[in-house]
Amino acid sequence: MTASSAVPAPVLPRPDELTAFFWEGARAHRLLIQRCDRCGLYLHWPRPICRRCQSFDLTPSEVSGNGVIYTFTIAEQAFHPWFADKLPFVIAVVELVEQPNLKLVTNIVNCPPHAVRCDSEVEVVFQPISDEITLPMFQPRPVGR
Amino acid sequence: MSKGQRVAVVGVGYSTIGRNIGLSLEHLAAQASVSAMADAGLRPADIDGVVTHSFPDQQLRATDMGDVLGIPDLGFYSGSVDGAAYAVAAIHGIAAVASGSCHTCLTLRTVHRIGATGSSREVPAEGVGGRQQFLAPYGEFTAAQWAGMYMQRHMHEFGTTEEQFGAFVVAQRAYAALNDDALHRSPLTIDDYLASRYVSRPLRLLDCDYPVDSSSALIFTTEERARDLAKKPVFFEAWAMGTTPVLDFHLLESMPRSSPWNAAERMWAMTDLRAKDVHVAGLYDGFSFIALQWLEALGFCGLGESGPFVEAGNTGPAGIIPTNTDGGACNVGRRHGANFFIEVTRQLRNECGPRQVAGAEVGVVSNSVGGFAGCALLTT
Repeated sequence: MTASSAVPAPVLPRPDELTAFFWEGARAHRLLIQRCDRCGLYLHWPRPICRRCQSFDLTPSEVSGNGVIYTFTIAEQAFHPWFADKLPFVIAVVELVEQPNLKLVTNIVNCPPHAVRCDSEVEVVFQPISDEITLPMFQPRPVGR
Repeated sequence: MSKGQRVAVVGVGYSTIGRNIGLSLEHLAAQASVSAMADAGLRPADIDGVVTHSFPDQQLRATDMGDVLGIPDLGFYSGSVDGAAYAVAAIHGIAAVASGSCHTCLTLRTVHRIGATGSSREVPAEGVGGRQQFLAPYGEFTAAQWAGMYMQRHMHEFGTTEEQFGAFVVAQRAYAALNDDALHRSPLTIDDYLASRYVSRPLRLLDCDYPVDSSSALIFTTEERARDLAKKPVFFEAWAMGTTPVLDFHLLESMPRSSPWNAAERMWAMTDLRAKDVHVAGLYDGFSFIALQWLEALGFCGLGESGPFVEAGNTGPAGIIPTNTDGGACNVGRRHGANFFIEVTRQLRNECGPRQVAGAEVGVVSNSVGGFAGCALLTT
């Protein structure tokens, strides 16, 4: 078997002290977002201090996984071999329902790329990419759910 | 606010510019510096300040450039890797001269080619750390991808079309055809634009600036010193940086109303001049949509109106605001904002030949988008 025929490895996050909770949560199919103990503000990406009240007391908090697509792009070029056979795919910014402008970057799945729309409702779905790592992704949310 | 001493641009210059030219960052910066000193009629001993702006992995130190050029003593130096590209170097240099920290400041933006749309990214086997861990696993590796997201949101909120982004690209190529220094000069039609490949839909290859090796240099000094130099001085009337509360380019509150709006508001607060008084603009086009956001942020048109504004020809020779008369970075190559400061200086000196904007006395320049931006207003 030659190197060129090897299946490319996925691009994995490298959790650290600040971010480990997020990836442990995703592995357990829970979307955890850092939240301030004092003022209740959600914070993403994780950080050492609350940007509203300057408290250092921040705790992971589970959110509903419901949101809307703020914007997206259809990737037509892969910048890593893992994505070469996945083109075209959708990279999106999703705003979670828990708080205005609480956003994360993700993929939209289970939807044809050309059917994706800004401001449409989505829900989290958990996609394992290795034994250790599961990525929170989003899919269209059926009306009324 | 107090502006301090009046600050003039007195020298501008470029290095050899192109792909695979094989010169070090230091060599390129020295070429641009020598060119700018010749333009101004200055020698190294006349300079007492150096400012550089670098990509983090291409750092060029201001102190080293003092040594390389034979400048005896720097009263002010700054080597930034942070924020809005050349505008950061410019505003550090302006502030240094205005405050009297130095009297004559050389500012530099030097780059080696990095492709936004080029080859595959290297990923460490142990995974991607830092903030990139929330991007790269989703295939988000390059600025061309968030640029596609900014375009998509503008299209969604305001009905902007791909043809309207293309109209801007076509308009600035027409200017490039009049610039001997532009690297892309062949005529471009809207059909050519629409036929260029998508990188990250709706962003096309022709929406991207052209990555090259380049160095750009501008020299600033006080009004008093400027009056004695070779070229007609051009003055900084106002300048400003701006940021957004959430800094990340993906996660900030509003993509159509990002940091250029904050920088523009702060800049206009420094002057009695207004957008209607401006004759020529150099608006950053790392991706074409960025120039459109600046047209709105600076008040040449309203929020969301830049698509129809450019489609109507308002950035061309007969338009409301001739924009990127050198052809922009899409055509002259990536000079990371510095080309706009140089081109507008030349316009205000009446040096631009076939692309000269008649009677140009006030010009605006800008850099970056998203989390951080900078802009400045120049006058004769």
